[in-house]
Amino acid sequence: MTAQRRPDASMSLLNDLFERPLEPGYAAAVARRAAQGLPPTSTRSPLVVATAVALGFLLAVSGASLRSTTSVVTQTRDRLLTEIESRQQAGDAQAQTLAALQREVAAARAAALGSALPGVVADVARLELTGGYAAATGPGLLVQLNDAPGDNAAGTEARGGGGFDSGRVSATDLQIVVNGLWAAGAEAISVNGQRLTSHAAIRFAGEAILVDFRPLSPPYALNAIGDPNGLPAAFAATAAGSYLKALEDNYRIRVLIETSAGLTCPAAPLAALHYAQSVASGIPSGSTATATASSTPRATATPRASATTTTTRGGRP
Amino acid sequence: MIPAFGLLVGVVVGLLLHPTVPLWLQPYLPIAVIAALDAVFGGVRSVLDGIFDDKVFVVSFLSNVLVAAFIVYLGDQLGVGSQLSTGVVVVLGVRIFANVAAIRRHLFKA
Repeated sequence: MTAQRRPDASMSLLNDLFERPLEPGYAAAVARRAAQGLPPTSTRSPLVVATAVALGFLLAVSGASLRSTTSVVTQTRDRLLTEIESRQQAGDAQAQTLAALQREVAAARAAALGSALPGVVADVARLELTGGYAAATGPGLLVQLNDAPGDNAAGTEARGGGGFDSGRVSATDLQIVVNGLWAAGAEAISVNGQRLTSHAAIRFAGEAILVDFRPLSPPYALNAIGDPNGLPAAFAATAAGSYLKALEDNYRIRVLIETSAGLTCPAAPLAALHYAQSVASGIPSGSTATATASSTPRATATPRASATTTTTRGGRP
Repeated sequence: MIPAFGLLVGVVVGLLLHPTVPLWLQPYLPIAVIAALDAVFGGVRSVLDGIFDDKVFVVSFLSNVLVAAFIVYLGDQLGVGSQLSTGVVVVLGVRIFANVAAIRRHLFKA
């Protein structure tokens, strides 16, 4: 190097980088080995080969995993999906166990009470049916709602205040239709196999519609058991009927309404009441456990039954 | 030639095993790869210069990877992870370029 100051001395960092990129250790190591009289090492030493294997492994692994880092979101999503599915399966299994146990309880109750108090068994069966805790079958109306076909480019703005795309069936739509069906005289309603009881709410979480806290996916099939002759006309006359017509005409939501001779509404899992107690009426309270148990559904079911009949009368033209 | 074969074996093994890298390790992978490439090009250049030494190669490979990972870790802890990563990439990138240029001069005399 020259004794005088270099013109680019202020850029010594860059100069160092560009001019001496090699590890200085290489030259030093070779010089040391030469001083000891050893030959320079070969590139075929096991150490080098092992490092090469490790390097290839590193390259392949990081290439594979970094390319999929862009889809960390999808990976997480997949994991969540599998978790949701497994939870749902577990929930379904629990529900089946619950249904089996309830059948067992009903059989045991019938066996215990059947001879002594046949009227109570019939009462319980009737109340369970009215309350939605026993499977119901009969003629009625089948209403099927489905999202508008394809991308609803014509109306992407949200309909109402729900934030839903206008072509999608919202929880509010389902609520209006279900209320219309009750008003038209439906005696039992289930949405995609979820029986509506006094506990079942129709609401939305995010973009999913929950009925009785179970997320549903379209198409939404509403089974409404009722008078097959009167129900369609009564439903069409309600506000829900015209609302549904407007949905179909304006937002291309697919609506299918047909009467059916044999509809089935499955039983809802029996809800345990922790706070509600029956108002002391004709039944002497606190006499036996079975008496309170049978009076509890009466407390919840009786207002529903009377409300249904009154709205039926009001809803019929 | 044997190290190149070893490299190929490593790539194949990595592709076949396809181990899932834990999420906490993923930020270190890009920097580790750059550091490893720097060590490799340094090694190739030293071979061509005739001053290759296996111990220096292995130690520089390992230390490069570890130091790069440590810098990223430190940057993450200090909240300047991306800036420090950029710095590491610039420095190592310059070294890789210079080494590749030297290799090119050796191979093509140009």
